Amino acid sequence: MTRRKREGAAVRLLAPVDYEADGGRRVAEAGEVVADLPQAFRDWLLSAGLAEEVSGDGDGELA
Amino acid sequence: MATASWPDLQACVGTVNLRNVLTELTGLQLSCVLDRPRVPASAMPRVIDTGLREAEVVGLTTIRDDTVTGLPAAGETRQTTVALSNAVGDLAVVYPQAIVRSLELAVAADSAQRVSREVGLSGPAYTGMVLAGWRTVTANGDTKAAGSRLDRGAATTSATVYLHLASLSGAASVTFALWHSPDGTSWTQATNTVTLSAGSATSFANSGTLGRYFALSWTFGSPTSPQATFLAAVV
Repeated sequence: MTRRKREGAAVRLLAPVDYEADGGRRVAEAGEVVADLPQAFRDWLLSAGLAEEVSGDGDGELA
Repeated sequence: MATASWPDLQACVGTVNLRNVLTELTGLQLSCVLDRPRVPASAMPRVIDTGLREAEVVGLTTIRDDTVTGLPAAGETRQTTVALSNAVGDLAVVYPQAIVRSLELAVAADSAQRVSREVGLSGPAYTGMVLAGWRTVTANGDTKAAGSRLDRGAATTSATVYLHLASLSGAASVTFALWHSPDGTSWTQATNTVTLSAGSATSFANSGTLGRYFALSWTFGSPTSPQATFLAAVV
C-alpha cells in the first residue's frame, strides 16, 4: 500500500463510503483510515465534513 | 377553476408544472384517491417547493405545507387546498408513504381562462424525487447504478426519505439507508437509517452536506429466503 498518509492523503472516515479503488470496488466503514480514495472524492468528503485529515503518526491503520 | 387529471399515478411523487402560468394564482386544490388503507396522517398530501424551477422563473413564494389529518380508508378521496401567492414554477405534490390511485389538480386564479390553457401535469411521475420505485427484492442491494440512482441536480443539505415497506418475509428485518454521491461513482452513507421488521410506512431524515446523487440501499437481517416489496421517495 502506498504511504500516501505521509503525503497528507490519508483521511479518517466519519461515514461509510463505497468507492472505486485501485483493486476494485471497496466499502469502508466510519472510523477507518484510508489512503486510496479518489482525489476529488477525498476533497469532497473533507469539505463536507464527512472525513477528517489524519495528522502525525499512529492515528490508525492505513487501509 | 381549471382542472387537470393524472390517472394511474403509481409513484408517490408528482410534479405540477406551473411555469407558464401568467396570471396570479390564488389557490391550489389537490384531490387524491388513495389505494391503501391505514395510511398514517403523515402520509397525506403536502405541497412543497422543490426549488427546481427554470432559470427564468421567479416569484414562487409562500408555499405552505398542508397536511390532512386522519386515516383515510382505501379508495377514500381526500382534498386539501393550499394557499399560493403569485406562484410560478414547479411544485412537487408529495404523497409520502401513500399509494395514489388518481390525482386531480385544480388551480384557482384571477383568470380561469388563462389558467386552463397553461396548467398541466408534467409526466407520469417526476422521477427526480422517486428514490426507488416499487420493487420486490430477494437480496441485499442498492440503487447506485446508473439508471437507478437519483440525480437531484445539485448538492443539498437535507433529505427526508419516505418509505413504504409493503411486505417483508424470510428475514427478521430490513435496514434501509440513504447514500449520496458528488459524482455518481463514489458514495457516502448518510447517517440515519431505518430498520423495519414488518410492513409499514415510515420516514427518516438526514442533514448535512449531501451529494447531488442519491441512492437507497437495503440490507436484510437474519435472512432465510428473504423477500421485501417497497417504495421510497425523497424530499
